[in-house]
Amino acid sequence: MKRIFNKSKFIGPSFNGWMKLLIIGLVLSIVTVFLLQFAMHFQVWGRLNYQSTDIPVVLDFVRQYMMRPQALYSILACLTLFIFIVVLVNHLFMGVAIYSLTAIVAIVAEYMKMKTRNEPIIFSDMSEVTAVSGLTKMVDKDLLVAAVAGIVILLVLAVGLELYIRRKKVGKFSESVQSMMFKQAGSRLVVLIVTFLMLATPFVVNADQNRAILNHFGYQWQNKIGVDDAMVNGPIMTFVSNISSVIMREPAGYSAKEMAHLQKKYTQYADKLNETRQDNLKGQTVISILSESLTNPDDVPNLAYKGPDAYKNIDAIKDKAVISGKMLSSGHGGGTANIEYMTIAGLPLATFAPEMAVPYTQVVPFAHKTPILPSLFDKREVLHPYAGMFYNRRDAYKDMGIQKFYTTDGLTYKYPDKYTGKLSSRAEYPTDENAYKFLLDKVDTTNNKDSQFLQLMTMQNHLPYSAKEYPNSPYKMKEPAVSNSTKDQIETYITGVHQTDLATKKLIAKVEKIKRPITMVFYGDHWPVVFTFVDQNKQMQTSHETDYFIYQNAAARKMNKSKLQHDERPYASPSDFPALALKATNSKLTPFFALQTKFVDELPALANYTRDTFVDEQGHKLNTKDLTSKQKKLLHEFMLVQYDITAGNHYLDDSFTDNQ
Amino acid sequence: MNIRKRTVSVLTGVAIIMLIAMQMVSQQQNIAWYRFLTWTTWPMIFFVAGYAIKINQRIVQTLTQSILKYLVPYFLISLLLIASSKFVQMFGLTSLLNQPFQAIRVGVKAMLYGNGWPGATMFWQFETGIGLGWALLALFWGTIITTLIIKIKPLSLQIVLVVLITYGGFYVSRGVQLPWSFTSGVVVQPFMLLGHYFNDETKAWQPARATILAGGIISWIMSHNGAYELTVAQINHWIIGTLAAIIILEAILSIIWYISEHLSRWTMWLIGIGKHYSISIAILSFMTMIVPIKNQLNNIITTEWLVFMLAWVIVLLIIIVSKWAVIKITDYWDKDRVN
Repeated sequence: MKRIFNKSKFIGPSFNGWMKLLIIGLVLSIVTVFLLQFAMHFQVWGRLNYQSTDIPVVLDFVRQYMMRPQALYSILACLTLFIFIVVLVNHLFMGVAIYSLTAIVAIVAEYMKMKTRNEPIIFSDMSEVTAVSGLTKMVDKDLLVAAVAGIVILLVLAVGLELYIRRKKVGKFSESVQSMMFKQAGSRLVVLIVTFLMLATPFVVNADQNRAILNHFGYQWQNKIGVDDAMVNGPIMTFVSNISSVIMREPAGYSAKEMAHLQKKYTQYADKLNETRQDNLKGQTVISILSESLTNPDDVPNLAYKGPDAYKNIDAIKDKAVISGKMLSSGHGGGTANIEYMTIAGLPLATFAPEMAVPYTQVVPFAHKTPILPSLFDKREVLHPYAGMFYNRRDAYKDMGIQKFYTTDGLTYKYPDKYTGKLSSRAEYPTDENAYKFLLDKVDTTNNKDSQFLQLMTMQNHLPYSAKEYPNSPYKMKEPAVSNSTKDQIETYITGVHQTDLATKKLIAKVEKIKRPITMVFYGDHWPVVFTFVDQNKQMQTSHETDYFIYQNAAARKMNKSKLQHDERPYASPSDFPALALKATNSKLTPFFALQTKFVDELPALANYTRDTFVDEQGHKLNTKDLTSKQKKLLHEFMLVQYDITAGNHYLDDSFTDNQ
Repeated sequence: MNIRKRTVSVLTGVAIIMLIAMQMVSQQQNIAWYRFLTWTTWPMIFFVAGYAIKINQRIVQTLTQSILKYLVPYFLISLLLIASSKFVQMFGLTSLLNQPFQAIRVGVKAMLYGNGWPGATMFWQFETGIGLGWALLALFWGTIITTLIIKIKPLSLQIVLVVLITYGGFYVSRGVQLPWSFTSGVVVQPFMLLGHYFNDETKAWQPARATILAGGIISWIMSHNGAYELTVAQINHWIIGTLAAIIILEAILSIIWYISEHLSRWTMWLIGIGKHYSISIAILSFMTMIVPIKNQLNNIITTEWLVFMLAWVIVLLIIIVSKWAVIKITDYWDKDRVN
């Protein structure tokens, strides 16, 4: 090492060479930041009127962004990355090509995520980078082809130019390029270390330090909504702001003493509730069905279509179910894993820190304990007719004690091919009917004495809703007036919903006949992305309402004698489901689930799509300040417990969360 | 005159013209232009001052020269400002002229503390500042500090010292304005050191088109981010800002080099404007504090850019004439003293 340094004398590019390098880097960085911002605004969503498909309008939004101090941060970040890459490879054209390739991938990915979910890429999305094959299927084909072509051309050009420079060492152009490169290892190493440290800073500092750096560049955190944050601060700042995020901020009064008090209080409360509960999960099955993007088309404001009632069977099942109502989803067009997390963990997203965007990547891997509903069962399996690498599910399930996770790409637990049949040759995903068949197979094969938890996440109604995906669709959209492509998408979606409706009817009929007691929690996870004519600002609550029900077959109804009232929770948060399922099965509770039960019994439903907001039984919005002091106290106690088990000091001992 | 000296002489003239433009441009209506002028002008002014420091000059000699060059004009113009302010008040001329100080006491306080703007001082919150005169004080301190730094060898140690004290200056200025715009004089050290070594023919320097382009892009980016505001030595990003300002300065230096080589008629004119720049700054300081020239022009012309251009030209002419008069008087005084 000493020899290298002695030999090197830290000779880098000349000042003029640095300036040339800086010009190239600055131009590329400005173009990258410009296009990334363009991807934020060039969208059909029309969020706060800052998104448009009118290019001059979008260019004006981008121009406004480029005038903000936040743009400097984004440009500097890109410039640092550029210098790091160029110095690392120490070949100008290869460096430019690699940087451009990275930028193209980032821009296309940002654009596609915004197009599908109106959310910018955040750090936790990086867990899905390994799911390239799955992701590319969701990307606009033309854009993907253009991006790949662009990348190939860039690489060919770069290699060609590098070969040219190598062959023609003398000449103005060659000398100019050479003047930008490092001739000695020492100076190269110094620049590499400096740029690397600059790039690594957000990953090593804590959340508050990270925020302080961003604030120095005028970062304006946009509460709750990632797209707003990206439009104001730029997607790079939004991404960085999520790197070292806070899981949950410490609630006031959090201490070992307070947690000991809560442990005692809710142990006593659980004992009280358990006096009338049965220790009866043995031999029972609880099924949780997450129906992808399912919502009743009749609930979509202003939507009119021609064709048979697409949702009549599910409506009928809801009437017969032990409990049913509207679920207040946290997502719109996406965020499935978050909703799923809430339904099994019983912890609402709204009480976590706003920076915490994906619990499976930001909470579960770091939490001391993740008590979930399935942990009360002997057998815990999840079925998903798709690839399993999204949202870090594989690792998260392992951490949470899920025993088997069946996916189409599973090596140990492969989702059987015989259940992957599609509705048509043009359809992308396996039908719900087939998924239900696999689900019922899993019920049939279980040992009668074991308690069993099964979760199915369907895929049939997942985007992209291609035109004419189902050739014999009886549905024609009448209103409102939308583009032909949107109309095609909506018709495809309604046809899919109708198929789900028919399949669910058959499923219920079969479940009803099974002798094993079965309790089934069924819900649509969120609205699909197709209803672009619905103003999400004005219809915030409606566009986050999906249907849920808990159905029990004859054997379960007979065995459990559920005390649930059918209209007990007309509006429910996904986090209410564990408490409701345990009430339906009339099962004994841990202190943790007793607290959740008290939450469901005494508080209105949390609206997880925003903060500090509840929805009462009549569907009216309430703020936290509108709650009674008793309700506020309960909410605070709940948050103390949530903090303790996810981000706090784990003062609560295992008896609070574990089945005894 | 060698090419480097001629370049710096022309640069001084350009700096004075741009300084006038900076004082005349509307910060509210043309914020980007104002910021651009701060990024380009301040580094130039201090670079020129650094160039003027002779390598073999004794510290006492530098101190004497700096007092005559910067402090004397500062105090004279400040006293004139205080007197004019009282004059405006006494004769009720506020419709024609500005009254920068509500009382003589306030003016004296501002003059003695030497803060450019109102703000937190070491003692208390000052309700007013001395205006552009702060630059003369910063030039004085900058010259003294650079003279001390260049006595320390080698160059690498000088650079480390400059980096440290620049950082220190920006750090201190977050909390308080030190007397006599000392922090401003500290944070400009990179430009003064550059200016000083530009005077050293043994140090290689070449103008380059790449530097001009890089400086252009950087000034555009930085102008949209904030001003390079040295009055109270507060900028958004110290390290990035100083680096950016150095590159912008290098770019301007390259441009001026090309101008010096190819446009000789203009260069003579610019060299003339740049002579005795401390007097120009003092006169401009008085003008901006007392004469509401833009307001007066706004009463007769409604076009913003025309008002700006006219104000710019008028102030420049007043400075040229006033400077000529001041030089004549001092020359006469010098001759009289010699006789």
